[in-house]
Amino acid sequence: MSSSTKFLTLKTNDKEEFVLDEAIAIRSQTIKNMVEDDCVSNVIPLPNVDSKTMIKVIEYWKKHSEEGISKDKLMDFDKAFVKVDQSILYALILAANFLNDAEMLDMICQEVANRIKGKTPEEIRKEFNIENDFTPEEEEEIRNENVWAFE
Amino acid sequence: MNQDETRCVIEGDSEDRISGLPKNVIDHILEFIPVKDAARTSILSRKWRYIWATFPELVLDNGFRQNFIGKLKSDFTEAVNCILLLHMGDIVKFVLDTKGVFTAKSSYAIIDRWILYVTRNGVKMLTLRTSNDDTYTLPLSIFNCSTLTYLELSNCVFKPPNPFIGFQNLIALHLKGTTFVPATSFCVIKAPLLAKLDLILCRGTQYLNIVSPGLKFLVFRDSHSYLVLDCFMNCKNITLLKLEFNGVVDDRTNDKRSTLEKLLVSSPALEVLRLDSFFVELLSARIVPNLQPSTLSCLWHLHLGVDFSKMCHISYVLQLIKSSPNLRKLHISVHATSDDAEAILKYLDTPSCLEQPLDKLEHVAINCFSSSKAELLFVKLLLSRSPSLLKMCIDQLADIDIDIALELMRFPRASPRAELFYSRYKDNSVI
Repeated sequence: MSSSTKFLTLKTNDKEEFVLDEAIAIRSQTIKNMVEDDCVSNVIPLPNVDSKTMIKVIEYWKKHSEEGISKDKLMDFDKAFVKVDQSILYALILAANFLNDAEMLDMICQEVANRIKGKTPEEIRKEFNIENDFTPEEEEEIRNENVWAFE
Repeated sequence: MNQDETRCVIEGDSEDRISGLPKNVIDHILEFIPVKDAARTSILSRKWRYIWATFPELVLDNGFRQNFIGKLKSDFTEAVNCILLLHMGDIVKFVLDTKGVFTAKSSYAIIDRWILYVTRNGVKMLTLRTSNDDTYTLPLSIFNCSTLTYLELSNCVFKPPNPFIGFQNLIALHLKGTTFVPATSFCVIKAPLLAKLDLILCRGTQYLNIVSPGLKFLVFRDSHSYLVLDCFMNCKNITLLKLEFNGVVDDRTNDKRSTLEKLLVSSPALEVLRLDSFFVELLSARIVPNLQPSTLSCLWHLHLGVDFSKMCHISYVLQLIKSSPNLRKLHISVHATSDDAEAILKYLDTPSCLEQPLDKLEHVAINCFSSSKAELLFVKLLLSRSPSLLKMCIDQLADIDIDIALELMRFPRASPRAELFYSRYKDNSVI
């Protein structure tokens, strides 16, 4: 490993290019594997990520790579980071999943979980725009299966 | 509704995105949701109908048990039965907490059946917590379950069958308040892949013989002073060793000391060592310790309970520090102290008690500080011998004393970067 900073170019599916310090980019296990397997030419294509999402991902990576940053500050950053509209949140989940960044995926899944916890099924449907396609009879049957959960 | 939200609605953000997420992501979200909320997702829509039923983790923990407060025992049993009957596919992780639910022995057969069910369905991570006063004897199905990689038990009776082939795939074993009952003269557990073992306040540990050549982390907290470390003598890969004693000392034999000493010198990979004052006392009883300057060459984190009124403790602690050339983090918990120990003060005031510089030491934490002269001299000594020190944190139960603070500030520091923190004890200061 050389000590000088190496840069990688990441190309999103809308043809935007991002030049990033390799040490930061390998927070993504997917990119790390590519680098280690030496199958990186000049540009790493990220077919599943758009530039708008990638800007957020890089913002997160850079903050979490800051030297000597306190845990409290990171927690505040994370809290603000996930306070976004659902469409952005899902784009981030899919990006974190594709890039295989366990820490980031954990954090966003936790946020989605928080939005589900303690809500009634009706509230969850409303929150996530889920259409109830059960007949009342079917719904009744499911309630009876898990009586303890619906009390 | 503010402007942003309005715009989103106008842009038609009424898409159901969550239902379209990949299965692994949905499962990951469910990991963060209590089982009651997770079970209720079955009713959201057809897409969600069987997502929870196929989710391979069933965590029926304390939070789950809270749902049945003020209800009948049979409601709890019915719910667990229901959950297991509705489940589809493997149950990789199963957590069951029955504290306070089952008190009569007649109920143990129910737990046996649940355990049997999950061991037949590929369980890898199994946690079982029963009440303190329970005498639940583990069913044979646990001992015959070859898929287990993680096993956590609280307050159970551990009586392996004879013969017992052991846990072939077990990586982590956490036993708390567990009673070992030997099948023959010993309770032998063969666990060739075991890397992590916690034995917390267990009974019958004197019968225990764990065969685990690859062990890396060993945490042992006992209320008896039997020290059953013999079976770990062949574990050459131990990197973390924590020994704590909660209870009354019944006897302190040379045997035990030499076993512990042997374990220390025969663990070349040891990186983290924690000994409470009981074990420091035990080890320090010998006049010439068996430690060489680089015996603990991998050790970087040392946490000791120290009685500052005892010369043997202080000299043993310094001995350990000298034998750890790569020590980066030192944590001292003051167990007791005394102000009228002239010999100790004299000893700590002689530069020869610690001649070499502690080149790698970066962090020192001292808790339960009580400002005795011996403690102050010890701090002074460390500050003067640690050229790389970054942080020295001292905390005490009482309010801070301005005179002591001024005295601490005056001590010369070998490291220009050393910061000194002196504060009242906060619960989160443990490193």
